[in-house]
Amino acid sequence: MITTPAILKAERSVVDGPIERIVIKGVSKSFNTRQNKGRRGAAAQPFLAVRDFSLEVREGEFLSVVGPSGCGKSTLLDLLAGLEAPSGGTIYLDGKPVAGPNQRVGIVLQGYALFPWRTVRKNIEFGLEIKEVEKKERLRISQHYIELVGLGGFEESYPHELSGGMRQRVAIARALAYDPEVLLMDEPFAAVDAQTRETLQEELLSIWERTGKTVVFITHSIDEAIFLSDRIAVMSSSPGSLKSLLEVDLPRPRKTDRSSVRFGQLRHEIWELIQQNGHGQRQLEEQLVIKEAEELLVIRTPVRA
Amino acid sequence: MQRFRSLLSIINQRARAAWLIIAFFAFWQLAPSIGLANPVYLPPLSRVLEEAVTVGFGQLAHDVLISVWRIILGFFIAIVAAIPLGFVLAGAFRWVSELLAPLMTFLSQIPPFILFPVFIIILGVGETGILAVIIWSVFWPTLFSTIAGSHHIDPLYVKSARSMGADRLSIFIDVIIPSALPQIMTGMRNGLTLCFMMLIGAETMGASSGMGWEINMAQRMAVIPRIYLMALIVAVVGLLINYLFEWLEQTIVVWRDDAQRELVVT
Ligand SMILES: Nc1ncnc2c1ncn2[C@@H]1O[C@H](COP(=O)(O)OP(=O)(O)OP(=O)(O)O)[C@@H](O)[C@H]1O
Ligand SMILES: [Mg+2]
Repeated sequence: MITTPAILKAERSVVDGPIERIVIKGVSKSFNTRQNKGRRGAAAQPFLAVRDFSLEVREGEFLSVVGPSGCGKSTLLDLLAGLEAPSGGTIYLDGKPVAGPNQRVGIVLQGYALFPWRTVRKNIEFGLEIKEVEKKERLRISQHYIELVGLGGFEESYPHELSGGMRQRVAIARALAYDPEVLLMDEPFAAVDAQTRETLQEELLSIWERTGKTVVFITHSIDEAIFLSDRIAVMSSSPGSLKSLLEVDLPRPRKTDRSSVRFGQLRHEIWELIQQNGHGQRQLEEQLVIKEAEELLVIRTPVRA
Repeated sequence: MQRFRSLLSIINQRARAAWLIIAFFAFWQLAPSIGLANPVYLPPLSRVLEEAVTVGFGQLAHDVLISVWRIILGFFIAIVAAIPLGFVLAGAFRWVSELLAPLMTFLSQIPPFILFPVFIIILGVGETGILAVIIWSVFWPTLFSTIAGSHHIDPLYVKSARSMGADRLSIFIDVIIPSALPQIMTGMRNGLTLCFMMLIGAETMGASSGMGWEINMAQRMAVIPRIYLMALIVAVVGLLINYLFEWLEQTIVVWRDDAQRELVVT
């Protein structure tokens, strides 16, 4: 039997039931860009990166955001982290407007952004130093997270001595170490190979299950989004806005679910949504996203069959 | 296997370099004796080394130590002035540094050696003039590299620190300084190399001690072996200072490897 997909329209908010941790209300963000760069007197042209974006993120949920490249996913995350101020609308964290960066929200930025001059341990302790946690306690906490992400033995290594996957683990441990309630992640597994990626996904899920944090996760991989999330937000571009919100009704734990029928349906559904998404120039980039997902599928099929 | 081969080639290179130096000294020793060079203008190496005994090791050590002390003092003063000023110009008064850039570049192009007479007129004969030459030599490269280093900081690091709640001061201390440090150290090393050469020059012109002064005395008294002896000592001291700084750089900037590797890859 084929069940109809549970698509929630963006405008329809989740009123009763789960508690909302983050409320994004009519948020837009424009950047001042200069046309004809370098030429004197060129008019500053505001570029609308995100338009009228509304979404509630529930307490303890795992929410993924997918959408074509340049649709404003990273911008949205910067807004959530308080790294950028919205041009319009408000973001509430536990009912209070987000006014700037704070340690209640942790972010794993696109690219690793580890400090090359700090060892693994010192990278992970950065947020704790800011928090003025005393040295002994810092050491205890950093050791805990080093082991949590499986990097025992690499405490004194520098980022350039680590593989891509290991650096990614450090970045995650660093964001977890000061114990934020919300964890924002921007394409954290984009630069690792398919196998490492699956391992990291499973590790992330188990960390999420153990810590009960609210996670907002950006990815280009539809499969990754389905495997990890409770809900998936699909964005469209020019300007970036919320296209639709899907509930992933797959049972947890999801270790072996990637080849299930329901998984395939969801995957197809999201493809369709992204495909409707684009016009003209954007179309091409979306094709690339879809291709990437298809490749993942091709690689996986013989293994699972 | 690959590693072993590259190790062999490194050993080979080092050994070849050592052989070259030995061959050079051997040639130096032999050339005057077999009539390839006039022993008056190019005394054999053994004669040059003998001269050390004539001058006296105590005197030589004194010359070296005085010169090295001047470098340490001038170098220290220069970096203590240049690094903070560089950060202030780059950060707080970026427009000032942009405005002053052409003027500073112009000033830095003036060889400190040429300025020495000016320094003597302004500061009088003696230590201050020599110090001024060293400071001038180290100041500009350090200042420029500090400004450049803090302009080229990856904004991602700043963003990352901000996301963890770092304020402006800790961003400066924990991100800006370490980010700019490799470049600052490079500037300091250039300044050090330059100031060493300038110091020897300045000492020949207006000092009553130091290696340059010793060279000047030898010249005046026309003791040719002593000139060669001092040239040898200057070269060795220069090399040692360079190695010492390189070692210091590698000890402090442990992560530098990274940036270099990335530069090679891209
Ligand atoms: N600081 C900025 N100044 C001007 N324009 C910006 C700035 N940051 C982002 N933009 C623009 O906003 C749009 C959205 O950028 P954003 O980085 O959020 O996209 P994205 O969805 O994360 O893309 P990707 O999937 O490639 O990471 C892009 O067109 C980008 O050029
Ligand atoms: Mg992005």
